[in-house]
Amino acid sequence: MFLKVMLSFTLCYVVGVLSAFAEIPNHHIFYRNDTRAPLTKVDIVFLGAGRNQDQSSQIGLARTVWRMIWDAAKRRGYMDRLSASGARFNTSTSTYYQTISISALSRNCGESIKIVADLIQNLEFSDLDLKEVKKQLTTIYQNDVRRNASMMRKTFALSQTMGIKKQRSLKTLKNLSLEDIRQYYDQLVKTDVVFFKVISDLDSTEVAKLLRPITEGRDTGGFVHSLAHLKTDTKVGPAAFVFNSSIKSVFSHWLIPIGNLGEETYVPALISSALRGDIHGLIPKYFREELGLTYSPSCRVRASEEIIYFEIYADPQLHNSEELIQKMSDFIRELPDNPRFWEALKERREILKVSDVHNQTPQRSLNREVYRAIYNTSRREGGYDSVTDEEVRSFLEKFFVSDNMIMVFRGPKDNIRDILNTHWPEAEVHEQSLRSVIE
Amino acid sequence: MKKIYAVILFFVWGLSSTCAAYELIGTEVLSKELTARHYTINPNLDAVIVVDRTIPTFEYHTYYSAGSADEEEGKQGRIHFLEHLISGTGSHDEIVSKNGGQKSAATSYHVTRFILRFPKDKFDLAVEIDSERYYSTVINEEVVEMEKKIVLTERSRRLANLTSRFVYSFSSLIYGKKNFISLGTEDFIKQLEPVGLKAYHENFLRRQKRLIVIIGDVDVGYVLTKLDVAYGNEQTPGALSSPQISKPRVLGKKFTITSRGLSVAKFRKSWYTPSLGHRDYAGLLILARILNKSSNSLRSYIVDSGLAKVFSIGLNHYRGFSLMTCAADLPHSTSSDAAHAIIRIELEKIKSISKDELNAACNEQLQSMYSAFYNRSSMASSFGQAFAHTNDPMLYPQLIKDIGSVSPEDIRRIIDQYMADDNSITLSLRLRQDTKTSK
Repeated sequence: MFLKVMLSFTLCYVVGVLSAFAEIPNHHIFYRNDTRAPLTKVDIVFLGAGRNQDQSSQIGLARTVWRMIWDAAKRRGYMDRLSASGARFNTSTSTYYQTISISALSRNCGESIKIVADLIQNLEFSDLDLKEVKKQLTTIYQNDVRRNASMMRKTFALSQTMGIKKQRSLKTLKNLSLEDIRQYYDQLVKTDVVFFKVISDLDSTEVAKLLRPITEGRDTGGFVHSLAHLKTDTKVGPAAFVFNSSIKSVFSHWLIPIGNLGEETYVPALISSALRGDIHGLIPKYFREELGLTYSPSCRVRASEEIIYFEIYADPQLHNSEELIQKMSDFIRELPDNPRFWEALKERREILKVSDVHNQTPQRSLNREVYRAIYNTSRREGGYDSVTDEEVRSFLEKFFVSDNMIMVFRGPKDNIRDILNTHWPEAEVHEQSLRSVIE
Repeated sequence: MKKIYAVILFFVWGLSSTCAAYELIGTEVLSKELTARHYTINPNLDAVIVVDRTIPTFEYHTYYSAGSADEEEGKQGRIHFLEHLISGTGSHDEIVSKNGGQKSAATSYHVTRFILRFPKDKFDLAVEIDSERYYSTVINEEVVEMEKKIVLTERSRRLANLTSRFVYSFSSLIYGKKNFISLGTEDFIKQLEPVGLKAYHENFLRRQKRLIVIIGDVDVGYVLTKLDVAYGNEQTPGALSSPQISKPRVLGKKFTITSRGLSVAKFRKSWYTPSLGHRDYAGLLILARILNKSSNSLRSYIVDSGLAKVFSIGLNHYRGFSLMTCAADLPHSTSSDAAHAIIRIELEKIKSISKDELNAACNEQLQSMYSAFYNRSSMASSFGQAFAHTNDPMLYPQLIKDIGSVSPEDIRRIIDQYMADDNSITLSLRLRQDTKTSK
């Protein structure tokens, strides 16, 4: 697997039209030159050290370690030193990797990188650090319940139906020990699979030179990156998760699991674009412009942990909610037989030929290149043009069915329950409190 | 013969050049690659052009110098409603989409904006759509009734959010309105009719000064020619002068509202400060940056100590003034007085700021402002807001130069001059304790 990942990186360098590459032993740079601003932004990506390494009894371990790095940077004066050079420092946790980010005026970037290298190489944790970070994360989890509630609800629904791990658990957070943290960190800093993602007005040779303080003296060993695939052909629905709220709207999501991260997404991306590529997509045209039932409907291909799913969203007023939920549910299930969908798809194929240019910014093309490298996804020969109507139909017939539908609602629960009883009697309904999603 | 044609063409070109109404009134170098040019197209219309050839597309934004805060008490919501009608005029959705474009629109307190984004060869189309919207907005029974449904749904969605409702309450205090709500009340939206909306469009919105911002892969000469043809000889009544906002009468006061079922208390304190263009604006921006740092700052202290669950500080300019605002989610155990006391202590501490600390904050601020150069839409929005609030879009790039001239003495003076309690307004939203006596 290790060789496979390395090979995929190498391929990316070879085929990436805009990419530049500077050699550093054991490390790789994904780089774009952007001279519009005198800035350098460096992401140090620790591939393989993501949340998917957490055992089910240790949910939150990766995030806790990453928060401890951030907190130590703050408490031990590193953040002040970075601030003195005008740099911004951040840490983030993803499913398959962890990232440390530095953004600075290019003239100060070398100094900032030295400070971060010093931090990574000389970090030690104490019980006091862990206690403090657990307190912070408890607050963050509680804040997320209020501030990122929509994402929390969806992740919870997927964890209950698809068997993916919850991202947050106060119970397992409480049980993490200092030994867990130290072990994880030792593995993390020694990991072989580290790369850099850089956007800068400096040239690639200068950038490579700047990064040496981080790469010098690093051991090898540690994680080997692997994509853990779940089975997605299990029966997940129809299921409905209802979160009670006394608002005068019913925020409604339809989640349709379609596969795993790393799998090719040309077919779902094309369908999603036809349904909601822009205001002229079929869903806004029909549900907003013609029926006036929703204000900002959306349709996206999203990921939660290892799962890729289709998300269709609508925000009807309470008095329109029954009509919207019934019509949207029918719309989804009957999509393969809807002539308007096939017209929209045909039109969208033409639009994509001219609209893709918006996605060619250095930032977006770099993100795509890194995504392909991490998830080992290949480019499909012929792109969207090569996707046939038969493939689309077979995809819809496989996934856009009642048995594969998870619905998540926020609104007055009695109203939603009545609607479900009338139009979705077969759905398994779960009434949830938002607080339960982080327990 | 060819020579004669050439001479004739030369004279025709010369004549047309001298007849062009547009005039260059300023340029600002943003970075080594980007330069902003400011023109007048006619007495009511300005344009800012920034050539950025990073990708072969362009942004075309149109800003009107009026927004929801400029509307009469009890009649708020018409500008937002017109924004929907103007944006949806004709069959633009389909045309924009089929030509690889994107569109959106938004109404804020003193500015209404319309955004188009196209591949580089569609500039004529962008001007055509913009001028059709300006000269021939469709306002009839059918579109008004349809849009009412959508706007009421948007309103319902917006008001489902506690923070939005809290901010509206705060805006009511700032603007001296009993019930500030950008989208209007439900009853007001329901009674809107085409005749009244047409008159409001004609006599109010179309008579506001406008700015067109174009950023992207364009030829400046061609852009000016097209804008000149579309708007150079426009015969419209004189522009209305932008309504001036009087100083809030409630400066120095603290207000509390109560509600049942709150998981956290909300706190918002704003100091009334000068707008963009004032010599102290850059210093205020730096002060906000210092207060908001990740470590050793007001924000880090108040969050790390557990006094607030979330705390942020920001400076935003409006027409004729700006507001330095602290916004917090407080646990019920933290009183508003405790938050006031800590803010006061931290402001006193900052008065002894060193030159190095100030330089660091300036660098962080520059890093943040330069980051916007990667995002054309965000940059265009900064020009548009500067225009709507001060009538001079070039104050935005000039601000970048001003950042370096701020001194520690400026910071001390700014704190004494503006950051006093009697120059601020505070609003708290607390849990209702006694349901019999509180309202």
